Amino acid sequence: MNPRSWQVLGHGGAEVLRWVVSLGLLLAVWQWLLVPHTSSVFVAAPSAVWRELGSMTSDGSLWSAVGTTLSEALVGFAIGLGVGLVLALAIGLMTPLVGKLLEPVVTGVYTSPKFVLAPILFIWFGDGFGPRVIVVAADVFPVIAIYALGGIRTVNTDVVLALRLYGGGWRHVTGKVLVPHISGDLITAVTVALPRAITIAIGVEILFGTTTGIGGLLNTDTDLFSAPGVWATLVAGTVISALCIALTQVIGAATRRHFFGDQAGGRNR
Amino acid sequence: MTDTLISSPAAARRRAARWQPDARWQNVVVTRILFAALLLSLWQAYSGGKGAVIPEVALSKPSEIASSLGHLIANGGIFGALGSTLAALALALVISIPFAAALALLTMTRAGEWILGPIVTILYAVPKVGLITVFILMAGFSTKTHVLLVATTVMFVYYYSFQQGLRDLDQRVVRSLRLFGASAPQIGYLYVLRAIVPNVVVATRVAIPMAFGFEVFAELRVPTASGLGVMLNQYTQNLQPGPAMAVLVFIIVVACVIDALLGYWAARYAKSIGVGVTR
Repeated sequence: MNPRSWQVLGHGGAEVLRWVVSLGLLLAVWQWLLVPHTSSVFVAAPSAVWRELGSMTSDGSLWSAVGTTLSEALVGFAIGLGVGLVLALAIGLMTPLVGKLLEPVVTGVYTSPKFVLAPILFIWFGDGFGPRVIVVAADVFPVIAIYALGGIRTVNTDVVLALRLYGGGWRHVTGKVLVPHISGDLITAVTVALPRAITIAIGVEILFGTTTGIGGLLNTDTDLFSAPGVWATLVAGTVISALCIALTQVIGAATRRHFFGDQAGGRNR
Repeated sequence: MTDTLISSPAAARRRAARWQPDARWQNVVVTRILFAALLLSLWQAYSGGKGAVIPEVALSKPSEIASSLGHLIANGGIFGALGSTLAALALALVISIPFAAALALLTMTRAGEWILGPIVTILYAVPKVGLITVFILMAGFSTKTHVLLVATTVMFVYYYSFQQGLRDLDQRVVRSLRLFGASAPQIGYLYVLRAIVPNVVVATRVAIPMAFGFEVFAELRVPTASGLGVMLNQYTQNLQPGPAMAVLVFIIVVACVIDALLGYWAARYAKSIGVGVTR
């Protein structure tokens, strides 16, 4: 293809072509190089995966699994967001003693692997919706708290003081200074935490050995040695994960435009 | 004493401050200890017995956890499990780092980036925990499954760091080295390897805690002969909450120590190259 042809396609067209060629290459390698030389126990042909996806879509099992996993992830995320924000506000705005007591707890939870909670919660609450949501929330809240706290701690105190001198109350300080200032950090936190929430939800479903959700489908297909089922579920999980990443980036860009009036999201300190 | 007399008053004050612990710092430590003691006392009081808020079958009493932890440490069993976990983690790192470097080099070429870029982006979006099912089908219930999962996960961290490091290379330095007659391996050794060290440090800071978490996850899902996750799984399945909680506490402590050590190392490195980032 000569340079003139590239110009005809334009940047968007060239990018689409790139993705099509790249995906085509991936599928070709998978179908003609990987499948003939590996055991069908763990690698399924793309055509078989496609058929399995069609079957899972038509019988509704895929939608049910996606719905379960997304609801666990979103409820856990919402709880984690709330808890994280409350903790960040308590640490950042209350007396320094509160921060000194709570901050090590937040850092400790952030550092620890959350999947270790799964066996204990399984014994305590069983394998239902509740314990799965708890693990997701335990993963989300430290991320939100740490990013929000970063924002709270970099608020320009001169601006707050000026607003207070002009008679502004805490409602004004929060609405005019604090929320716009920490929104950038919160967007970053959401961009990091939301895709993680989906991964954690799938992981907990796998550890609980359930039959519901994307993790449940993966468990069932592994037990049945159904490679097409495992790969089809993984493809579905990847699509959801990618859509989630794209969605958080779109929301992030829109929020930045709303608060900062630019696409770069530069903070007006 | 003589030293204090001959040096400036400011320097003497700094030296004195270094040796006299800050009273506020002591207060913080004492308050934290008291806060932890209060929480543990409440836990101890409301755990077990009739109508207890915290069921003893799930969360053992702090005194029993401490006793189990002491027992596990004394008989050395927990250190053997830690060794197995860390060995699998190290093997996964050894496998993933060269693979990530090779992939980063491949995607540095125009054709490589054009073709492989979208594939890597798609593979990065795969929920990594789900891959354990594929690896179970591939390698069965063995340590290989753990290593494969951890290696696949951390590979992307190193890949993106290597790629960033290679993109940030100063092309003027590369051209100068070429003009002085340096060969490709010489440029690699003399400049590239040293220039990407900060990226490797950052990647390692992220990758090792992540690898530890995924290794424990893999051990919980695929319990093999030994490992911290395996131990936790065994105790919870046998409904032994004391030792199970003791292993859980140990895992959290190990994760915090790993994170703190890596943070200290990264901060030291940043300071040594003049960035001066402190934790």
